[in-house]
Amino acid sequence: VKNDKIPSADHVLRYVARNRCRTDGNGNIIGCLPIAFEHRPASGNREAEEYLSVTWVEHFAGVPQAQIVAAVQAFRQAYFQDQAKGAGANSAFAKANVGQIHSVCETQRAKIRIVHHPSAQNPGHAAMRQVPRDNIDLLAILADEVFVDMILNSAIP
Amino acid sequence: MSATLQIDPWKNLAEPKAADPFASSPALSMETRELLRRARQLKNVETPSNLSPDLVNHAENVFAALANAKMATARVAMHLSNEWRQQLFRELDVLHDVDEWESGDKPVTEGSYTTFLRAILALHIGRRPGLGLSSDGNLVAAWTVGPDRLTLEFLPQNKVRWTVSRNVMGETERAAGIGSVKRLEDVLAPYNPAAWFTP
Repeated sequence: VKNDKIPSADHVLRYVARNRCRTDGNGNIIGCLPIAFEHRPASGNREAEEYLSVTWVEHFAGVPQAQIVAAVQAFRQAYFQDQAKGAGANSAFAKANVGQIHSVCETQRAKIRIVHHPSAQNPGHAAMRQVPRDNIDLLAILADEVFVDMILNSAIP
Repeated sequence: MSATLQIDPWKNLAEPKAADPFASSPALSMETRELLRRARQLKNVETPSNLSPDLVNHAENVFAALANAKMATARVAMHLSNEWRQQLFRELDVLHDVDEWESGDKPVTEGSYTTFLRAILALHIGRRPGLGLSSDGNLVAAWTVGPDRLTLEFLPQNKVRWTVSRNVMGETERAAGIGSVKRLEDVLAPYNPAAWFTP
């Protein structure tokens, strides 16, 4: 149901475009950068982001691996609908536990909400609301210690 | 000519919408008619001028941004190895790939790139970083050695936003700040930056 809190034991996936991935000096993806958790500003026809978009993994049925595949496919359906086939081929998804996200945010005195925000194309869409925009420490911790399980877009059918 | 016709790379393109007045003209040979058909089809190829406005702007802005970046690099080329420079250009191209682009994002800005070059030279950085790009067109450089991470976001006017994470005796120490390129060496000194910068 829209605006329901996502349970702490569950997980979310954050799409990380290639230019927001942490790479080694040879271009191999090894994580995500703090900028992957910045709210994007208004630009051109794009409105400023009000929240950080994620996809709720356990919303989808099946064993964990099947849930990941379904979550990625639902995200693609919603996000790439107007873009060319093959878009985001070099991008990745970063997976995190919801309880851990809350926990690190609290250490930074940030009270955030992670709520279900389904859309027609992505029924597992969720919103991370009230993530501070100016706390670079927190963005670095999210990138370095919380969203550390990286899944290459190209690895998912 | 016949080999080219067998391959026919244009066959998947849309046929011309208007009737071709030369299509059945007895004054033209078959080969000439085929050339005319292909020339007409070329007009239907997707070019920057009939891409979506967003992609057109992106393509034009990226072209200008990358050209500026490469010219700026050329001005300090004597301080960078050929391999370093080539890898840098390859990474810049990857960061601006149209297939990976998020609508509304900006290509690397001249101000950010200039700050990046100044920092690379001032800190005598020998190890290539992984590169990223913010929505605002700020270049980001990241070094990772085991659990230790250094991330620098290069802002215009010689400003740098930095975050450090180091494992010291089993505990993670973190620090972050914004300052000038001139001060960067001093503010990073307690975290032994040579571990990241030395190949």
